[in-house]
Amino acid sequence: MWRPIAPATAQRHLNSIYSAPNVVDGIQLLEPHSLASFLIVLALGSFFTPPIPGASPPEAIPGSSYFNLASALLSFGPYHFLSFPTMAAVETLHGMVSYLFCSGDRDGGRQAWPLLGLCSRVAQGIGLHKRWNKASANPTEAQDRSRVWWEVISYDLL
Amino acid sequence: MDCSNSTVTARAVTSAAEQAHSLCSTQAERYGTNLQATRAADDGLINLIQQAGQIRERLMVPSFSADADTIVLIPNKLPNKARAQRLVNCYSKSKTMLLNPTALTNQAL
Repeated sequence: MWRPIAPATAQRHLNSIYSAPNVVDGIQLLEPHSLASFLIVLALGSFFTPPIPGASPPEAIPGSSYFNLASALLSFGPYHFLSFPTMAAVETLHGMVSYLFCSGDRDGGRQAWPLLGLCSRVAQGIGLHKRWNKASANPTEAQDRSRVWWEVISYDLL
Repeated sequence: MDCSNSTVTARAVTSAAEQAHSLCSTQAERYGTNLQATRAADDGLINLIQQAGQIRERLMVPSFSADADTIVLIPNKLPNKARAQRLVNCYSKSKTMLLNPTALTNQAL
């Protein structure tokens, strides 16, 4: 629990981005919302990874650049998450809520609560709360949808 | 423009970036063959975009607004593969990190 983005999905995104000849090509292999979900994984991971000695000075809030890019990507071009909601967008919003709670910023909690409400609305909007009966759906997809829905709703009810 | 001043707003940076973009276009038209001048204006624009990104970072709020400038920043902001793998591993292995970050940090150390 508390990991809306499946680790296997994050690993798959990482492989896609970094297996390309360069990163610019790599990021274009992912849809904007999937890239946003990958960035929020990096943001959350940044909280709990010790700094590397000799690396460039750490950000005031670890992972904040990933967080900001992820939030911006949710509304990029024709893929604005309000008019084009996806499961990756729900996962990203959930991750953003966790990030804001962890940030230690006094305003983090204030920003997180309405964002979580928005996340559960978007999840309902794409029907994650319904049983997935598509004949063409594979078991993994159905399992992912169910997992993300229960992640969101249990977080919201806490 | 001094972007180290915390009172500089994102709007001001955007405005400056637009001016730089205009300058860049003018330079390119005027000195079509003068690559150096065009490149200098282009560098100035990239610099401003990066400063705008840094200010946005400091603001630390969900921006929900993306444009081409934001997307340009992504490749520069991504870590190298080893670092990215480390962050993904940390995310993947932690089961209770969001409930108790301090405990997990200690565990990681």
